[in-house]
Amino acid sequence: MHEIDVEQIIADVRAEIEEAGYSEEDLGWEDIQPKTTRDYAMSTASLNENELLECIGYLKANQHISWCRPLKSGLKGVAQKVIRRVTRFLVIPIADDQSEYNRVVARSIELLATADPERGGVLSGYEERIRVLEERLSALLLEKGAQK
Amino acid sequence: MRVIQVVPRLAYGDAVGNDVLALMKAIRKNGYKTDIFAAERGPGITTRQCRDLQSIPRLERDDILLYHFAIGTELNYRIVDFPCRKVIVYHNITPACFFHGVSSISERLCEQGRDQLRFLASRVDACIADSEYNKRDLRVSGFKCPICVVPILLPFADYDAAPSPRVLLRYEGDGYTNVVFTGRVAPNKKHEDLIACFHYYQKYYNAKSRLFLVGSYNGMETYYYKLGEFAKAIGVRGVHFSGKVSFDELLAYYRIANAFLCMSEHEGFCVPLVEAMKFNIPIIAYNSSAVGETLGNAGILLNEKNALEVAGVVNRVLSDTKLRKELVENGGRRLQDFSYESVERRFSEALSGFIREWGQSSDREAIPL
Repeated sequence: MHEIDVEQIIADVRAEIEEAGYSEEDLGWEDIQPKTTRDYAMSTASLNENELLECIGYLKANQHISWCRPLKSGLKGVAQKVIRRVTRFLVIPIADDQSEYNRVVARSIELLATADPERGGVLSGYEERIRVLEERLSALLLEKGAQK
Repeated sequence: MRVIQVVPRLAYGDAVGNDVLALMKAIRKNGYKTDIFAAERGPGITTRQCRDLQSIPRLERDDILLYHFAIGTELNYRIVDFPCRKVIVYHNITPACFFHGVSSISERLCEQGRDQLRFLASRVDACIADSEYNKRDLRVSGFKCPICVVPILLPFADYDAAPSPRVLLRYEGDGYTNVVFTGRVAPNKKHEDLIACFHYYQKYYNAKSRLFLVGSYNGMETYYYKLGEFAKAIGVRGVHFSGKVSFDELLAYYRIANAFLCMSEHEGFCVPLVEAMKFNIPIIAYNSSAVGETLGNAGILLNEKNALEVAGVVNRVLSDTKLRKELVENGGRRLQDFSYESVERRFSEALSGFIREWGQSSDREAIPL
C-alpha cells in the first residue's frame, strides 16, 4: 500500500485556495423551495423508462393493504388488540376497498406503460428498436476503436 | 439442515438484493439446501430465484433462517415465529431524521425499523453484520448474541460484462472530466454536498466537467426536485441525474468516470466504493459511518466537509498523475479484501462457527449440483 498523506494534501489545497483567492459562496441549499411534483412533471421532457418500471414494481408489490398490523406485547398492546377487535367491522371493508382500488390503478398504469405504442403505450415495441440501435452502436464503437 | 434466506423485498440493483443472490450461491456451494423467500419481488426477479413468503416450508429446529434486515416492515415481527435458528444479516437502517420533510413514509419505516431491531435483539440466535460499524449498531441496539462481520458479497465477474454502448457513445472520450457518484438519490447520501463541491470544481478548476448522479429517485421525488432547483439556482452546469439505470448502464458510468466522489453521511457498508475500486477510479470520500472502514487506504478520506476544499482535492487527484496512480493501486489491493473468494470464505466460516456454537451437526442435505 502506498502511504498517502491526506493531511498534507489538504494543507496544500488550503494554501492553493488562499493564494488564488477562491472563496466560498452562500449557496443557500436550505432556502431552495422545490417545485411541486406536478410542476416538475410538466417540465420534464423525457421519461425514464427504468424509473417507470421501478415505480410500477413498487405499486404492484404494495397494492394489498393489510387491515391489521402486529402489535407489541404488554398492557398497551392488549388495549390496542381490544380496540382492533372492536373496530374490525369498520376497518376490514375499508382496507379491502382500498386494496381493490390499488389493484385497478396498478393494472391500469401497467397497461398504459406496456401497451402497443401504436395505441398510445410507452414501452412495448420500443424494446426491439432499442436492441437494434444498441447493436449498431456497439458496431460503431468497435469501428471507432479500430480506427484509433 | 436447510439454510434459507428471507428478505422483505428482493430486487436487482440494490446492495441487499445483490447480497442475497450472491449468498445463495455461496450457501449452495457449502452443500446446504437453500432458497430465497421474499414478501415482494422487484422487476426481473423470477419465481425460480425467489419464492413467496407463504411458501416457506415447515422448518425444523436445526434449520437456519438468514433474515436480511434493512428497513421497518411487519415481517420483522413475524420472523420470530419460525421455530428454527434465526440469524439476522444486518445491513443497517438509515436514521429517520434524514428523511424528515422529504419522505414521511421513509421516515416512519426507518423509525419502525429501529423499534423492530430492538424488539429482535433478544429473539435471534446470531447476527452477520456488513461492517464493524453495523456490528456496533447491533450492540447498541441490545444484541448480545454472537455477531460476525462479513462484508457484502459482490460477484465481481458480473462487472466484466459489456457496458451500455448508449452511455459510452454519448459521454466517452469527449474531453470532459466526469465526476461520478452512484447510489439512490436519498438525503443521507447528501447529493446537495456533491453538487456544491462540483460547483466549485467547475467554477475554479475545470469548466469542462460533468457530475453524474447515478441512481433511482423513486420515493424521494421531493428531494430530487429540490436538488434540480439547487443546481439551477447556483448556476452549475453539467449535473446529470440518470434515474434508475440498468446494470450495463451502471458499468458504463463507471467506465467514463474520472473520479468517484462520495459525500454520504450514512452508509452501512457502501458498495459503490468497492465498485469504484474495481473500475480503477480514484475515490474521494467523506469519513462517515462505515465509509472509512470500507475505503481503508484506497482513497482520500476527508474528516471535514468543506465544499471548496473538497473541490480542490478533486482537482489535485485528477491533475496529479502520481497520486492518482497510487490511489488506484491502493484500491486494487483493498479490493482483494472484498474478493468473492475472500468474502465467501468469511461467510462460510461465520456460518460453520454459529453451527459449532449451537452444538449442531451440520448434516447437509444432498442437493443436485
